[in-house]
Amino acid sequence: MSQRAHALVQGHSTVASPPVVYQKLMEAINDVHTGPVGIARIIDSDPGLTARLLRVVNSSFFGFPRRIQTVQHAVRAVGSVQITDLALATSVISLFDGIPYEWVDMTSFWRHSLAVGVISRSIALRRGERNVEEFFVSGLLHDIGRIILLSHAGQDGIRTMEAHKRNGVPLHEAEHDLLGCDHGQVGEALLTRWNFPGEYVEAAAYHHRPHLATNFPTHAATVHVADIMAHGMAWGTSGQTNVPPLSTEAWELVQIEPDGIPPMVRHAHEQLVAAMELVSTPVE
Amino acid sequence: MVLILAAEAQPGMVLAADVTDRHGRLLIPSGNPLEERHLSSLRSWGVQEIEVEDGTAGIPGILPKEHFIEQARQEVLPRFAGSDTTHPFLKGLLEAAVMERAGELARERSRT
Repeated sequence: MSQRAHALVQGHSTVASPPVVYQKLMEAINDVHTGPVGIARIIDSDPGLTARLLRVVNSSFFGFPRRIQTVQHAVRAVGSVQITDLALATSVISLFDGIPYEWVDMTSFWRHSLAVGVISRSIALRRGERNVEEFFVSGLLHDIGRIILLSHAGQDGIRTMEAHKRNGVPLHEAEHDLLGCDHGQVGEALLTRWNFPGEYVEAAAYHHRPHLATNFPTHAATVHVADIMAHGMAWGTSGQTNVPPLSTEAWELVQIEPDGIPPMVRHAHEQLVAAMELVSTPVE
Repeated sequence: MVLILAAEAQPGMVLAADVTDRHGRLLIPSGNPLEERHLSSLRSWGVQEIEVEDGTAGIPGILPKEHFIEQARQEVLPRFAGSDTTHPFLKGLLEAAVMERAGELARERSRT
């Protein structure tokens, strides 16, 4: 793990610890005695989280035929593990709420991150993966290191984006050259510090170099391909202006036929609109 | 007969050809005037373009699809600089991005 990335993360007080709700949920999921009711109670204790979660559950993200009014009902309808994954995504997003970032447009950043999330989920669905929400979270978190990098690196951060735009150098290479580490490594450092599952750590660390993901190659490959698609469609941005280079091994692992792209893109766009509910602040 | 982007469809236009889905399944038979309810269905069925009778296109200045596609391509192509667009996946992605943008341009135009 990159020392420089580690130092950057240590210095960022906002993200010293993961969202509180996440820790409670992780304990609950791993505790055999906690059932759906226990999970629901934890989520219920956070009204902001509850509101956002219910809005997404009732959107075309899931397309349930009848309105879901309570968290308990949501847990039953979506599944404990899956609701926990969504709650995790929501709580990470709200961790960065209201922090004024001079160098990054947070709405655009989350739009890109959610796009990669919904596309990753879509790819996983096509492949018949059991827990598709896990892929949604991997996609959502993949660029989280960018926020830390941009909020800490100041002028240097701007220089990396200029070098990337001017010379066409991939953003993560420009970051390496100018800052000593890339946003993947910073994401890796952050998610490791938070004790997040290895799937999310590797997807963040290696989404530009998926061949290096040794433990969870499918997650890294899926997020890599989803990232390329999100850039191709220009759904939000986290600083990269063009489509990153494709790893053909990752593409072969993930197996998307060119014919399958238009319907996937259409579906993902709908899902993205629904998922943006996780970003908007609840209107009381 | 004019081939237009589905996004430019208006009620009253008469179809010059059947609207089918990707598998050739009939969605709306030709000879029928389009109704409001068809318009949103076209989008959810993923229909990109339709053929309508000239006279019934009715709204002056309906542009053929090539206009929007070319404009969209100019906007989208720079994004793919440095990418190997001969690779089937990237080629497919580029086309999808172009068609999506072309649809947006057509929708923007029909709103004004």
